[in-house]
Amino acid sequence: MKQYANLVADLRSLAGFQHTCSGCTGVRRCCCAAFEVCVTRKEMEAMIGVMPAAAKYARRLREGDAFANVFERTPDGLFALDTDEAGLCVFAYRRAGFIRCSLHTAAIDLDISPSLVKPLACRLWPLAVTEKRPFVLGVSPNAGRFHCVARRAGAGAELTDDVLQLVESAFGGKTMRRLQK
Amino acid sequence: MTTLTVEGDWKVRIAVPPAVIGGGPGPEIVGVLDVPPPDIVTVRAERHAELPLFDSATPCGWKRGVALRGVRAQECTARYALDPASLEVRDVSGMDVPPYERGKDYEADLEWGTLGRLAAGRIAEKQPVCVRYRYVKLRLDSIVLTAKGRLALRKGKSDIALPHAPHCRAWETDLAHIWVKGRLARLTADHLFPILETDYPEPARSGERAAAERLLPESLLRLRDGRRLKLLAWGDSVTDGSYLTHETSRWQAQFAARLKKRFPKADLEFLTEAWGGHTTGDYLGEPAGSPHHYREKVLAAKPQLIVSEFVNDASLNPEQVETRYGRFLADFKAIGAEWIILTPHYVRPDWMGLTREREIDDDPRPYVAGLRQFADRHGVALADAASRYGRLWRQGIPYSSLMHNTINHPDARGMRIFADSLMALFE
Repeated sequence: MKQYANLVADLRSLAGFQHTCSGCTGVRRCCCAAFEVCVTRKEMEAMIGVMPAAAKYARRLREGDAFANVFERTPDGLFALDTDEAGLCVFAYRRAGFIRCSLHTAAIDLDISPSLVKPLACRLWPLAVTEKRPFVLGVSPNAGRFHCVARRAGAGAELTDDVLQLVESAFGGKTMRRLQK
Repeated sequence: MTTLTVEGDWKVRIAVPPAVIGGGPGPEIVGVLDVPPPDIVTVRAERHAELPLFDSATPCGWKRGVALRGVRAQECTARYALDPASLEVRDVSGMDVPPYERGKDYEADLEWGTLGRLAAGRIAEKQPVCVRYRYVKLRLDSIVLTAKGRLALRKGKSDIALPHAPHCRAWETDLAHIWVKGRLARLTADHLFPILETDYPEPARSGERAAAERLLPESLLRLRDGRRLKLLAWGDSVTDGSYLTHETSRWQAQFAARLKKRFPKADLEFLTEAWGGHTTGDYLGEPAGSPHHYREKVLAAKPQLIVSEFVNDASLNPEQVETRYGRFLADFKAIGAEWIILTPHYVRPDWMGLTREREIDDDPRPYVAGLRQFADRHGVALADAASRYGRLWRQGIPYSSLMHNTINHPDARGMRIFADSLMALFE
């Protein structure tokens, strides 16, 4: 474990895997259909801001002429994203047979960084950060079940580029560089 | 292995060994969690424009009269959802008038939540009535290990059918599900579903060829070399699948999509011949010109590969399977078609002679035993979906939670199990 300001990084766990995302064709073992994704109010507001653009791809975001309320308050004060009957996130859509994120696509359409509108939990996967202090950054305990995640045999303390990119997109270059050291 | 035991009416004790949560050194995590009782819904005034005559002669409880709206599921009603003591039928003029008498003015199927008037009673034909009742929805709760190593119960969303267990969050571990199945006075061990495996354990083949190499050589050749393969999905309502929201959820659509992915050159022509509520015997009994005539709709389609699914054949014993399916095999060989028999999904527990939905790996239906024997004896490909349904409890899933009608109509997840068992022949 190594502490960086408010974040405790579980380096052994972070160094022990590699991740490659090429998109999933089905909902089984797809991170967009496997978890309850909870967002803060700030994240929710950012997502609502791009819903018109996202709804062009994810049709479930619309209810007639209006937008559906796809956020449900959780007992711990967060907002859980709705899913469809197969458990797939309502922001997901399919393109060329692959499951994609409409928030990500909408951000590219709007020429903004996807990290501004995607939930932290999604940007981090298969990393995860605990929701309460101390904030621990590590690999999701469920990651081993997914085809996109592989264990690194005999891995040392060095983090792969995949991990560093995930950390950079979620916490910025400064944290990434400190982790790299 | 995670163990669960009931402590008191609505409490569950859970013990999680270190192996389940990463295998590191550490003590077993033990906790007792409160499980919320079933969610009761009170309907104060449900208006029905008229009541049909109660039909006590029909064997289907959900067809005996008008269905109470709260307990309606796909094509039928949810059994045992209605609280029988709560049912009151009155004139629409208000709550001040005394209720009608059951057995005199109206009759109800209290198991299935349907009611109808009695000919000699006070409710006239086309007379509107107001119904008050309570009912209970199904619910699947999750027990998770949180980031801080604490056990927590996540209450699922209750529904009359297809309740989904809440997903855990990325930093949590899903340990077990609790099946709050309708009107329960208390939990028992039958409602506890620890997650013992995350996937169906595909049998190791250790160098053996895929079953399709031996049993479906012509189909496999066509899939590989890109010649057209005409595939006929033949079955009942589960193959018809018109109750599903999306056509792409049907088992044959999922199978086709996955075949295409597995064999990129494949040129598939997919046909469906399905007849809801009927059996293979019904197909054989139909006259020429019928929309479901066996020779005209199955054989004359000249498929190269036939996949049959008939949960409605479940009343057949192994001898009857041998006779009837033996005839099909001869016919299919005569038209040069190869055949995959799908074993059926699990259906309403009491229809299968089951009293619970866990520890049910072995399918008790003689029909399924007959299909397995038939396929083995005659070298026919068998996609054994039943064996996968029988292990769902090990994955924390009570199989009836996958049924749109709470009886025997699988949802998209249940359809995927058929596709899994079919694809296993080609892997």
